Amino acid sequence: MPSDPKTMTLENFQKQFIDLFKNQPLDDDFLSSIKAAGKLKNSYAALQIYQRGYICRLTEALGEIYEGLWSALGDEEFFRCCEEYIAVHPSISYNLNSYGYGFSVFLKSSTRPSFLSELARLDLAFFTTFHLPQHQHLEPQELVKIETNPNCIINFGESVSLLELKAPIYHMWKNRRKNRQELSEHPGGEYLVLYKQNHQVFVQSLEKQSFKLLAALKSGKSLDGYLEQNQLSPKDLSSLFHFIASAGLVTSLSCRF
Amino acid sequence: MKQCMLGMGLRSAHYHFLAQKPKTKINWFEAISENYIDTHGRPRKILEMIRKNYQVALHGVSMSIASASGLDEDYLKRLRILVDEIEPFIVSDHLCWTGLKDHNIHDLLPFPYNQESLKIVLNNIDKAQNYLGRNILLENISSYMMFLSSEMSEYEFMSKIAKKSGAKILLDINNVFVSATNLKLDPKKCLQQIHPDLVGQIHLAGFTDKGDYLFDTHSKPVFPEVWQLFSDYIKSAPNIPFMIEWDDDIPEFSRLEEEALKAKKIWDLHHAK
Repeated sequence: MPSDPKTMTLENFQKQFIDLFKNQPLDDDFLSSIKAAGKLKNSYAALQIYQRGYICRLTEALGEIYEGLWSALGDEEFFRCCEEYIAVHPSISYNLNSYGYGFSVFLKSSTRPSFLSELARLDLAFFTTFHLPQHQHLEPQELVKIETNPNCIINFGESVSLLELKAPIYHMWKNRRKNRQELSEHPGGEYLVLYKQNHQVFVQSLEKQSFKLLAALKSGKSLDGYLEQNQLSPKDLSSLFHFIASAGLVTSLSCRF
Repeated sequence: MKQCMLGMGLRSAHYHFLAQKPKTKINWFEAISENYIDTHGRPRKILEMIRKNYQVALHGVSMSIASASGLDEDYLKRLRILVDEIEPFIVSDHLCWTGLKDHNIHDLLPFPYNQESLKIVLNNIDKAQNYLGRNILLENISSYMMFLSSEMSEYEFMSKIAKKSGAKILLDINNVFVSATNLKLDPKKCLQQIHPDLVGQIHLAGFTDKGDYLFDTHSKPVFPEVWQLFSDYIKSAPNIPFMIEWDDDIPEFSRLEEEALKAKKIWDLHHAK
């Protein structure tokens, strides 16, 4: 129903303004209530300043997070992906940094190669880890107590996250700031740990068995509890604990003496 | 007593330089609130480090003070936590709205200046100030359009807001010039409508001439016309903190500092003994 611009409420005005970004037809009365500035042809041309800015800002936000994906796809295809995503996913948060968390799900449901959504998952995991606090890690000599008390629960730092990927894309992601590489799908998975040390984010690739043990420990299972039902060679066990200690993943031990 | 308060926008491009704790000629930094609200990573560490050596102002872009559907309490809650931690000497945002709850545009959107808007904005300011436990400042935005339903000028509107709410004006002189040029108004007359007593901070920045209109990009040095307006205004307002904003194509710190020192030189011309 047409509305008189003089009596249009602010709420109604704002709803109509937002229709612009939903690509919905704008009310003629709404358009005629706006006087374009400068040498702009008409009110729609003035509104388009905001429309263009909206796409740019959201694309920029996606580019901040999905650096690896952007590098793999190149500008043209990445921007096309962004435009498709933005068209169906409005931002609902005040914080632009939290826009685009569903990008990998979106890519997975598209006809694009499936490893791209895994690449996006890694980008997002890296981005979220970056914004997490740096924990105080347990000194390695304290962690050694686990050898004599394998029933202790190991408490990991907040910034430690585990990522099981369904495609081997870590190498491609690691080289995201170098020359663009050939895109190709490879079978297999990858097992990554992301963590912060000295306020920097690191990514470490693990063997499947070591990753499964780390996941179990992180979920609150004790070392002896895990090893009762699973096997890991002494060499692999030692290697994993060496990594856990040197990367400073642990904040404390909860032991029953 | 007259005090020159020279500031600069804190940008990630300068984190590496500032992390080395260099001596600067800057008195204070303005940080974009949203860049620090939801992070405990490096940006927050840098801000905490800066705060140990400088005064800090927190400048937001998401309060949406002119939103007819009210303010986002979660945002205010998180902002309050940051404010309590950083203890800024100024907390500010823009006189605009940024979208609706189900569709945030993340832009500084204009609205008609009339009695209904005045009532809504005053109500929202009251809520924000109560939530934050302090007065806020609100910045004039750049305009690319005007509305038939406006009943007063932007500057009349801002002055009324400041007088009734205690929320002072963050006067962006670049935005005054951009809006006045776009809307075919006299920028000097626009500035004359804003009493210095109502102003708590001044922004200076550069715009881009898009041919059909001037666009507020913060990607260039301050234009001569804007320096002149600043000089005219600061003459009778010696104690208002002022700063340079530069958000795109950000130059190295020393170049930005040089730009800021131009503002200090103008201040000195009028006020230094």
